Amino acid sequence: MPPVSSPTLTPDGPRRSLFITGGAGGLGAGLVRAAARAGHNVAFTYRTSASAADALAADLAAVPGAGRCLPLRMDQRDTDSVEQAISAALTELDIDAVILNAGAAKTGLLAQMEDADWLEVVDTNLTGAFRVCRRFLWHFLGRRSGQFIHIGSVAAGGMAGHAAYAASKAGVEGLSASLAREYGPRGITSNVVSLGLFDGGMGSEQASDSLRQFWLTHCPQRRTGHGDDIASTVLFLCSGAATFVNGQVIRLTGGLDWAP
Amino acid sequence: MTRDDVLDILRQETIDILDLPADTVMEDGKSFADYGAISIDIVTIVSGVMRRLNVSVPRQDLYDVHSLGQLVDVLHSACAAKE
Repeated sequence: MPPVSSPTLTPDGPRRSLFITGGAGGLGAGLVRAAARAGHNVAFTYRTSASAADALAADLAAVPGAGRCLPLRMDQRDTDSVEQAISAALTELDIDAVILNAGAAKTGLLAQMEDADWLEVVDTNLTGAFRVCRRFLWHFLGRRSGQFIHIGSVAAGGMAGHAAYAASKAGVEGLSASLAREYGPRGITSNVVSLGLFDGGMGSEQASDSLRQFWLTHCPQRRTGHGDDIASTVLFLCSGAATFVNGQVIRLTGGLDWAP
Repeated sequence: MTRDDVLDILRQETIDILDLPADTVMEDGKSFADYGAISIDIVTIVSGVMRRLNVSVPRQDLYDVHSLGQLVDVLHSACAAKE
């Protein structure tokens, strides 16, 4: 591939078309808002929150200069649902980058965890990401470019009370690294944005008071992360400026890369 | 879009990805492997052809394709269905 040298290839550069999973609520909705407000076209998925997804798209349609928003129902535990949603997105948009944000978590001691809980988390977070990437690879290979950005977690290194979530996020790091190596030669990149404790995130919703206090005490920045912290990093990785960033785990943790 | 048109696009993509001589002739009875392709080359070629034809053939429909002629037929059928 030729070297990337154009001054137009900056994070604020040309309008891109993004596909964001789990975009109707929480940190995903923040990503959809930030991307659309930056002028990017966004296809985003939801599983059950149709009214929230429609409301988000309607809000952004009223923002001057915002990119187009396309809400799509998708259950990434279901291959047919994934195929249908992505085919619908590709009919409307020539997707440049995929942000794999949708996820599930079940808390509790591993010793007491039911098979169904384990399988639901792994099927959603890891196998679901595989299904989405597999479908988009055919699109990215056809255009010989594309970017996967996986939303990961510091839990990938292990986290008490979150074994299924931790295992699934560790798996996502392996998935991303494999994509980076297997398809890097074809102009496709894959990276993980690994999150610490974030306001509005899945971890924040399930964090105990003691975990929150641990974070605020030991994080060098003495704060939790904000949605803007994620958006700025993800939008950089989606941009033409990031085409040589591949196979990385980028930690958005304020410097605390460990969970108790 | 005729079958020969599809074959020609497939030939162009194959030459491009495998860096073959421009006058390479694609024969219906041969496979990609006969032209030196490995698995990732094949997926890249097929996805590139689908993009140029603006068709999408489900992954599962390609499992039983073993020759270039069969692949051209599958892609040509997808084009015909779209038209």
